[in-house]
Amino acid sequence: MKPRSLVHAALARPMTRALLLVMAALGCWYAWSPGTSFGLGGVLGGWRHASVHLLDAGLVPVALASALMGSTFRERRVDEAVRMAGVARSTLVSSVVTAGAVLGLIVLAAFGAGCAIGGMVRAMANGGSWWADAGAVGPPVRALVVDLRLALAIALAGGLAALVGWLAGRDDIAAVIVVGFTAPYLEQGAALVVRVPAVVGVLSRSPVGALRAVTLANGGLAAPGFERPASVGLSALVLAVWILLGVMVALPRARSGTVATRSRSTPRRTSIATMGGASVAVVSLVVIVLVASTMTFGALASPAIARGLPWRWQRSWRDAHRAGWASDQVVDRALDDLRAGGDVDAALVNRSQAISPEVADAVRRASRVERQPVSSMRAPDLVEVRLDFDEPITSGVTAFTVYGLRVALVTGPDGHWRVDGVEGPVAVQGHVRGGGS
Amino acid sequence: MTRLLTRRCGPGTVAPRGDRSGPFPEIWSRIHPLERFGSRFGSSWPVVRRALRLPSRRARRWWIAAAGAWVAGALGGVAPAAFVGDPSPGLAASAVLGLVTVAFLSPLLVTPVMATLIADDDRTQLASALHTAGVNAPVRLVARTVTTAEASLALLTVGALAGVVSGLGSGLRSSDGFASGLRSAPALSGVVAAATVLVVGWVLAVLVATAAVTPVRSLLVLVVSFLVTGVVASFVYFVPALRPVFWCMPWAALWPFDVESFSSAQFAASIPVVVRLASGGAWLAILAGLALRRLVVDPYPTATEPGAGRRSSRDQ
Amino acid sequence: MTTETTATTDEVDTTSETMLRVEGMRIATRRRSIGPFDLRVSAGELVGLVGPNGSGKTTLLRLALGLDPATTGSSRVHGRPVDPWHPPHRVGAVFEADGWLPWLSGRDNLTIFAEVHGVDGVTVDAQLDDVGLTPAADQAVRQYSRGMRQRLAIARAQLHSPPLLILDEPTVALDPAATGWLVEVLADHVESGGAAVIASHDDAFLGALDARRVAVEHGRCG
Repeated sequence: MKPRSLVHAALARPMTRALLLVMAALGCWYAWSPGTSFGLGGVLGGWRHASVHLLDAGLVPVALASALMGSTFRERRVDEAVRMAGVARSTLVSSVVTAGAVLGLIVLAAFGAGCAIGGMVRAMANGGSWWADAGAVGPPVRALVVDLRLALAIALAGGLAALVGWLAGRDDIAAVIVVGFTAPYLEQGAALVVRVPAVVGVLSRSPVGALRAVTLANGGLAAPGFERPASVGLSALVLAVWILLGVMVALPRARSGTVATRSRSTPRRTSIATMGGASVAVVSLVVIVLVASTMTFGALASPAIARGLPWRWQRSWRDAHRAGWASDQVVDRALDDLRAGGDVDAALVNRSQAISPEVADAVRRASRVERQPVSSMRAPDLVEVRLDFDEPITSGVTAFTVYGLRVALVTGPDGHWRVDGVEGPVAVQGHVRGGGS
Repeated sequence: MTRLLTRRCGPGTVAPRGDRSGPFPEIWSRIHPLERFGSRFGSSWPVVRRALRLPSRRARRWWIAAAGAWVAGALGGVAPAAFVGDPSPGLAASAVLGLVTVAFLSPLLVTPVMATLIADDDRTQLASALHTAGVNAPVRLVARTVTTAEASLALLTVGALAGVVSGLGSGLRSSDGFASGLRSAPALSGVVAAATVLVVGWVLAVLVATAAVTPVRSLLVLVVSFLVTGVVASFVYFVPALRPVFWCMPWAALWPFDVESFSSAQFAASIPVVVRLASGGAWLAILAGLALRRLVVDPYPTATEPGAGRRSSRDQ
Repeated sequence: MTTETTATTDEVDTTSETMLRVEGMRIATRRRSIGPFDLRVSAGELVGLVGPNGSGKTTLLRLALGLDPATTGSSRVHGRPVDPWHPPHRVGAVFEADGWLPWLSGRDNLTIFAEVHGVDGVTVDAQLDDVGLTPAADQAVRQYSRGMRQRLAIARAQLHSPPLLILDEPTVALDPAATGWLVEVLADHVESGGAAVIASHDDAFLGALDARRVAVEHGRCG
């Protein structure tokens, strides 16, 4: 059986067509999305923007299409019929893998077409270049090299997925496996899993992680810290091992000459009660390993994760907040003291000159005082305050209505935050008297 | 039983009707007395529910979900200490946290398994077989949903167990000291929200399975909807005008990444409760409409691709 | 192009109880219409549906049992109307498609239907024994051969002692011994007041049953 026949059969399937449509829509979406700067040039894959997404969001449809092609072949027992015609299993497997690679390239072409359409629409709507905006495209040769590398990666992904589908032998199982493998490499997925170092290690060494690392020459994940350039030697080795393992798993079944997964000679064990001593031992071992590893995770990984958390989720911040001495709370109390007309409570400041008289005066005179919300604070030690004045403060020909303060804070040994200094007030918004803002 | 054994399907030949003799007619009448015809009809859903309980529990794909539930429960069991800087949870709290985490993740862990199990009834033609046994499609779907939902509750137990084990590990090394109670337990509102998500996951499973017909299409519907929602959410950060579009996405109603509780600004979104309810309700209504339409048009599909059976009969 | 067919049936007018009555049932699509079918089966009657592949035998049986929605016409089983929303009662059916959960054992699969029919486990075991599947009762159905699955389907059809049996190609994959056994079972069933409709290409099988033959050709009963 020729790979071409398999590809034709796959393309006739409504589900594959739906995936092609999804891929074209994805390409269209990315070409239209912010940051892109190409028009019809997107047909080359949108190398400056969209091509990266081809290896995260795009991997899912590519893998699904190829895996379903491989699994259907066995689920409908077409493989057996072909075997009856005297075709060796190794030939079949290689045909399936090749067809998977070709199907991957077809899906890639759909993505490219989507990019071109989206890019063209963007160019027409926004008035950009019909081909590509200036500076968005490097030398044509380099762009083609990038495209070639992407095409090879996608072909490899398609081939691997087809092999996985073949081994799974059922459409739904194949779909679950390939989605499970590819979904963590979405930007969305990576943003979540990157918080767990152990998971990241596994992901970057999985078949898809290694493939991404080799293709993009980075850490393999679509997450900050992993998109820096990195050497690809180890990843290439890991990828090669995965491919070898897949082929090894597929081919011994071919040599046995039996109908895969459908042995009728031995009844399936249906319950633990019917298991032999060896099986009970294996199950017990698995349970012990599971419990031990989970306990170890709880004991070791959870403090490590806690240390790597953003400041808002750090224990010290939580404790300070609970005690009423977090930086936002301290700033609120200091502002309240000033607005009440008095001085700031000495317990709230780290040193006596932390709040200058100019700052105190501006806060008292402001019509409204607004502290920035915690969710927009970049760090716990810097809080910005906005002062609105109904009556503009004039300076020369300019009248200012909004001023800003930047409050710097430090923590003491008790974990309480205290004001260490205030920058400002700095004019933020104003207008020329008699003119515009 | 001795008499029955004489009726066993053993070696024999196709004999002309007139040549047959022996005690079979008499035995047949005794085994299958006509008075019994129609004595019990099994079309009521509690009966069907009892019948489907076993196959709903025995599917091996639950083990895949159980593995996911274990990982989720283990993470959930230490979540307060690991992810939000709270003291290490007590053992009881770890169990609740593991359980709640699995419930919150039910659209990922429970819904796909349930949907494929329900859709399998058409793929394996069990739906047709049950129909000829007097069970119509709505009754079967309700019974199948209830039994698979009951089976999915085992995943909550798995999550709770994993939570206890990881919580034990965390508690033993914690500087806060070991606690066995509800220290750092989720608030009641969190538990209620998790239960709501679980129920929504159940409802989604039956609607998606009915509308999509085959297991693999059900999975694809779920995966594509996850992807589209995530991709659009990630663009709202760059183009705030896309916010209404994001609100119309399939999973916007259950979007978990709130601005106040998630550090990645690209995916954090504040969605008003009213919008969540409206968006979720609209999607449920659309799915219910599609499911109902499929039931009316093709109640017992015989091919794995929806409509293929009809197409083939049309093309005959 | 749409091709319409008309009803051409000559049913035996029987005074005995009518178990199945199909009247003018038809499936119409944009390109073709199948039917209308008319069929009446009374108690004590064996009807053999014969016809070439694709003539509409299975379609007729599916319509009669309400598995497919008919464009026009109606079906009544034991006098009660049947459609996709109102399944039949007191019917045992064997179709070409399996209807098994492959990961469950044969016994467990039958138990599902035993629960539905309110039949106990002893009857399940008796039926398994009846069809010669006791040794394989605890194996997963995915491990069954086609013939074993067919035997299991026959066991399921008889599980609740239905007065009406609908069998679509029941002898497919059955060995001669099992076919002979099935002839005996069906004959006994009819003699004890039941009825059966059998779609089959097995002329010897239908001959042994002495079944009334109804020809189905080009989507209509003849």
